[in-house]
Amino acid sequence: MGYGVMKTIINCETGEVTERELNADEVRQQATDEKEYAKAQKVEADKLAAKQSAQAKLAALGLTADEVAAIVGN
Amino acid sequence: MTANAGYHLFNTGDVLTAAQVQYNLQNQTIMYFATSAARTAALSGVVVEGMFSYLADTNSTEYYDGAAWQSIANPGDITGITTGGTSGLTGGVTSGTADLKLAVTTNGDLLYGTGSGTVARLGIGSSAQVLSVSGGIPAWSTPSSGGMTLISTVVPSASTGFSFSSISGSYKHLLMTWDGILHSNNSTAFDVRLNANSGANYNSMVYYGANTTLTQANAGGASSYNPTVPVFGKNVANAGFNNTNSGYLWLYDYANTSYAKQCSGAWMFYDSSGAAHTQIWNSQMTFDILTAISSIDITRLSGTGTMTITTNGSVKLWGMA
Repeated sequence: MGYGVMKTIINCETGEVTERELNADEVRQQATDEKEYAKAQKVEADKLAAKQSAQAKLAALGLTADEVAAIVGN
Repeated sequence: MTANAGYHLFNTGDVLTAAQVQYNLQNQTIMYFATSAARTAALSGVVVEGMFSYLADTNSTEYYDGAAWQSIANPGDITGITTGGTSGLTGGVTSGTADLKLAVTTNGDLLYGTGSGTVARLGIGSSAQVLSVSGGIPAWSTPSSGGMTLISTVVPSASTGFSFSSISGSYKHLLMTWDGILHSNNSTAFDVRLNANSGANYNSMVYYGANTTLTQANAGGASSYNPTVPVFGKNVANAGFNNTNSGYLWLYDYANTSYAKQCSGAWMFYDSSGAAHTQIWNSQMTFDILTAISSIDITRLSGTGTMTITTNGSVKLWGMA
């Protein structure tokens, strides 16, 4: 123990509320979650960047903003 | 009998007569007697209307009205307090001290009006009964099955995560609602896990609007509800109006053990670090686990920040029959 991060547990049967530190498995999961989250955010950012790039290229071809939006959205 | 003489203005040099002493002075003072019997004896044949006396044995002051001695103690004009049978009160009196009480008899009794100025008593119902209306009057009744039950309420404060545990399987669906979630910094994210399961069992399809853009963000085989768009927000550090994280999440047929669980929900927040700040998410998610859901974790996916409920907010878990 001694990981410092607390977790509150609400027992829905009894209403009892307890608080404890994360256990070793949960701390390891946190590290995994950090990586998964960063990976997911990068995927989303890349998708957004690709979309913006496509919009810019279409605009460079002479399409109006409405025409670009009709193809790839706003 | 000579009447008392009332007020007389004496002038310098006036000769005081016996009649004046008797009818202007003595008869119009407050006379002292040990008892009423002593007074009767002393004033026999001379008592007249307007006399006052003080009786030492009863410490009472009385006046003679021409026929009898009347007390001037508590001279108010209320001569009785009546509490009718349907007044809702008991303890009325016509003399002495009134000790009024509500006309209830038993622990849990209620009184309700039956007309102008009249009430009736309603005894307490049995456990879990609710107050309803029957035949135009209040009545305890057993609620029919159905409706929503508030299972638990949490108001996180500087929380790094919390869990609804030991959720009864007695409901048909679960609904979680929340509002006013604020993160302590703009680099933290909180998501939802079911049964503390961090396997690749969460398959979600999410549509979200960010400013004027509508985007689809699917997450197949994720280890939480949706790490791309965490349910309890990411970077929600702007406490301005409409910027905190609020939303709802349905968990359908959560207690079944025959097939995967379907969930849907929507949530919104203001991403303090993103380019498109205001984000509104609408999601469908399949949790590929047959086990009944008995716990819901709100877990921190990223960062070191905490979450706190702003004014009037809360996280509530409901059961739907």
